[in-house]
Amino acid sequence: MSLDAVHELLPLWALLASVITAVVIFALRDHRQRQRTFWNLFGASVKLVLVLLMLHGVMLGHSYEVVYPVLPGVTLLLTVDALALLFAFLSAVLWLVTTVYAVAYLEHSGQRARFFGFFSLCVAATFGIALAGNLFTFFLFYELLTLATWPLVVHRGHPAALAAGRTYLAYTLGGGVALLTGVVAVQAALGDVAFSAGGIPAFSDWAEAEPFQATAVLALMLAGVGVKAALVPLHRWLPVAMVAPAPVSALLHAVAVVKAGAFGVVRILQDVAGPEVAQTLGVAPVLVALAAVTILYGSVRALAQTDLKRRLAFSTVSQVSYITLGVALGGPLALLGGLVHLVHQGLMKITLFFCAGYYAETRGIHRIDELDGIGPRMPWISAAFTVGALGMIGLPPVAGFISKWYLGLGALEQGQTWLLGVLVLSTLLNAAYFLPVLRRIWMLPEPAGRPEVPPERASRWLLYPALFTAAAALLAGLLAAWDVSPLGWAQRIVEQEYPAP
Amino acid sequence: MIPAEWWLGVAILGPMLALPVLATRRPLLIGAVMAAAPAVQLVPLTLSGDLQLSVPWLLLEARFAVDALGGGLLLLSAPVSAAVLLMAVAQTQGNIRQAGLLAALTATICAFAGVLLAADLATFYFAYAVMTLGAYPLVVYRRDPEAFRAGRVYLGMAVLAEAAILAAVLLIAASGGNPDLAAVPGLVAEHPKAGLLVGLLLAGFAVKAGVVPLHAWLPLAHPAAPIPASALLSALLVKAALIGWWRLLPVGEVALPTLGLAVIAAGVVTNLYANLIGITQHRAKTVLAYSTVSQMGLLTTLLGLGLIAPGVAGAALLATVLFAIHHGLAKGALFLGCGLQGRGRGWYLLLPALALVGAPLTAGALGKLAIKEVAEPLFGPLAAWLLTALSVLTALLMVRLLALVARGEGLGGDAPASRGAVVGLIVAGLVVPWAVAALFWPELPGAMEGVGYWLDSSLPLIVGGALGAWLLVHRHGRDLPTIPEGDWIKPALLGGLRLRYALLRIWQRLPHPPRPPSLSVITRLSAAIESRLVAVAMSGVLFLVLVLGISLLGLLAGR
Repeated sequence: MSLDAVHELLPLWALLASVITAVVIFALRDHRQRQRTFWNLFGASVKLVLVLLMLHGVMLGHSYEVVYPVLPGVTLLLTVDALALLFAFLSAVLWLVTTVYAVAYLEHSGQRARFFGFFSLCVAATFGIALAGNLFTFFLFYELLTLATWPLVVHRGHPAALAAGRTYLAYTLGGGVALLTGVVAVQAALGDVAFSAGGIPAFSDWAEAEPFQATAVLALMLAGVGVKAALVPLHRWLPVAMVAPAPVSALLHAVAVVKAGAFGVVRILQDVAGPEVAQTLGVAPVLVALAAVTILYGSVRALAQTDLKRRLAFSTVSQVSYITLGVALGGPLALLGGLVHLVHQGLMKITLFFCAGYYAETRGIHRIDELDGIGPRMPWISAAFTVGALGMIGLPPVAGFISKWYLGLGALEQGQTWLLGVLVLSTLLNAAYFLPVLRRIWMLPEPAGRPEVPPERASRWLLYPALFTAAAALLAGLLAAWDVSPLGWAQRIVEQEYPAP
Repeated sequence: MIPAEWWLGVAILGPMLALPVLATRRPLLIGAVMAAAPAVQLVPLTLSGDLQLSVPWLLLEARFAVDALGGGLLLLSAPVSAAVLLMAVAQTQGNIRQAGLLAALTATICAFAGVLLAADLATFYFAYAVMTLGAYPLVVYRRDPEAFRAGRVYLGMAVLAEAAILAAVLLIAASGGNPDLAAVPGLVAEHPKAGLLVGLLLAGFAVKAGVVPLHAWLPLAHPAAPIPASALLSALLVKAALIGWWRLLPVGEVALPTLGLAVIAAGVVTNLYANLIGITQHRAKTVLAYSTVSQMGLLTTLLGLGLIAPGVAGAALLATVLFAIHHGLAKGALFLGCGLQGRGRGWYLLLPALALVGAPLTAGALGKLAIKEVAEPLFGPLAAWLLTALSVLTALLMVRLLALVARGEGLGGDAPASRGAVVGLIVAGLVVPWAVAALFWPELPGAMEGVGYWLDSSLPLIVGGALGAWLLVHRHGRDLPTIPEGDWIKPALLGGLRLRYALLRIWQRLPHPPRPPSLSVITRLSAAIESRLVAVAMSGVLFLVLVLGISLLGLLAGR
């Protein structure tokens, strides 16, 4: 195989990096901790390097494509465009970070081979979703993700975890069926078509000829991905899945599952239907309304939670809908806001979950009212939490502000002034459920009689990932105008989706 | 040497860059460096030329520049910041939370400089938000119930205001990306939703300015915060509202007579109301907080004048800068003076108090003259009369303050550095406003002659002073009505709490339907299967084999 051919197949190698890691880890005995950690980090690093290579290639104008006919008329297609890389790069970076965290977090628990194996598979699936070049490939990896995350959700194995896993499967498999129906319908109507920026031309012809069918199919597919994107009323599984260990929650909320849903919304609206068709079919306005309701509903529910992780979960419900909202609005600025939030929300939420896990692991803190005075005692992790929380509220200079800025401009560009009210109200609600937490952490005195924990239990490797992602969230906002910031990259995608006339 | 325009960045971040000196743990060095650091804020003023800094990679292409408003208020910010930091170092010597206080003070000071120097909308909003949040740790610094109550009210009102400003900022940006601040008034004037926009801006910044009835946080936050922090709040923080108004509203672009009149009315009512409530208060710092509210009312009035007549907008802006500098320096000195020890501290307060009343030859008289010059062409002698009448109340309020201070024991420790900080501010208050007037409005000091002027400026002092003295001698202020600090906020919050409990009671009395029975057999069965599944340690391998097998089948079928 020549070097060129190796280069052409980069997407496949990157995908295999995670799959092979999974196979090796499954094969290792549970007590082979060093070897497993080595393979974990090795796989994650190799993958990151491969993704960086592709990033470099795409910046130079190269495009990668791996075609693999599965059945006559059905192909497995991996393509690398700017949008795919946005998600792939996010998942590659955060996978590495989360692996470091998970290794430190689960040092003393059982079933680690199973955990890390599925952990790698889960990332492979996410990577496949990012690189999927047609609906069939997308669906394949989307379902693989559902199945690969279930063992992670129920990892602890206690009845609550099992119940959560049941709810999770019921929702996501239900969504999968809806998605499958839609995908098959598209396949039947249009044949084997690849995603194309701005919408598949054949789809818009079909939508003109058969508007009702097209609407139904589009709605089915969106409902399918809407489950993972946690749109109200399909969001119930997400807060329940909180029983999973912290690294899993972090991955679930920031990169893997909810992001796969949101990314699916982007792909289906932008690269299958196209924003104009979605608008004329009436699907996009409904989605905008749903997203707006979800944003507010998630925030209101978050307000009432006393458990830190549950509050964060409802916050995810609300924040992920920002992405849906931006895409469904259907203008370049709104899409920019949605896409950039895909990255920003990931960075901020993973930071918050890392911190929640750190508090739980080192101090046994699960409820919000147990956080009193923890800030001066654990200043670094609390600073990371603060950055994440301020970003969620949308205060500059943390990244969340940039997202909110472009979403607001996008809503106004589309003439939807009422959405400004939704954004502002959501900002207020976010402030209402995050600022009291910060006040407890930093301002309130520490309760008397809190047990002194020996410092060695507080592993530094739980701390560094949180600091890294917090710094990334801060820099993504502070250096937003830089060419290679998430914003700069999202701008590149938007230019492809809405080519300048 | 760094390029001239980068001094703008240094001016903003300067005090922050001095923070590492805290690690030396040498009080003298810390005090000297922290007090000297704000001087870098003055550097951009000494550099010639049109300073403009553009940082294309920062935020949304951040821009910074100095203009009359920003530059003028830098003249206020530098001495106040220096005095506040010096006092903070002196009074928290050996306190375990000294570093925290100094860091919060510095962050607020830097953010205020950012508000002054930001030249694009996003950066302005960023600096304003940081300043608002940075002040919260200052308010709750003492960590007692009073401080937390004040902090809650402050943060609640500030966040609501921030939301209004965010909405306005996004509306503005929708018509021009991230525009230069200089272009914003034009954009607002031509905006299709100009009415809504102006309303949001007025209301959003009014919270910070303390326009009645949005002033409730001030009388709570000031007594709760430590002395240097309250000085910073009153002298600088509230002035940020002026920047917001004058930079974003279309003052001088279009005439908005009705709105302008409403703003003037709000300003006058604020002044009157705050003075009256302030007189009934029993703590020196609360009296000072109400005095700040009342003086911000005058500054609000100037904005209204600019809104009514674009012709006088330039003069109104100059008067705003002049009055803001005077008020900031005087109020800073008054607050810091309250932190001195012993009865003699009353003497330190005398001069700034006289300036606030507008006694002849003080900077206050200059400021009030400026207001009069702006208002007279529009309202004739009515303006002068109103201003004099309001000044009588200010004089009463100052008598009340001096009486309280003379009776009280002082709030802080006594250090030469503290006295130095107060004296420094008093001297600055004597010099800076006059210098600004001489440079930018040379005719104004010239107008300070003739019998009319002397009568106008000494009348409030004489009447108010005499009335105050009479009240003091005969009543000692003992039978004044008791009005809680923050007047309406306490009854409102209590009412809200009662309403909540009432609603809760109603909710609990409502009949709640029983939960439907669950499908328990199926649930138990599936749980049993699941727990066995989970127990299979190598279920992952099974899963992989399954996936690979299916794809292999697919592959064969494909061939």
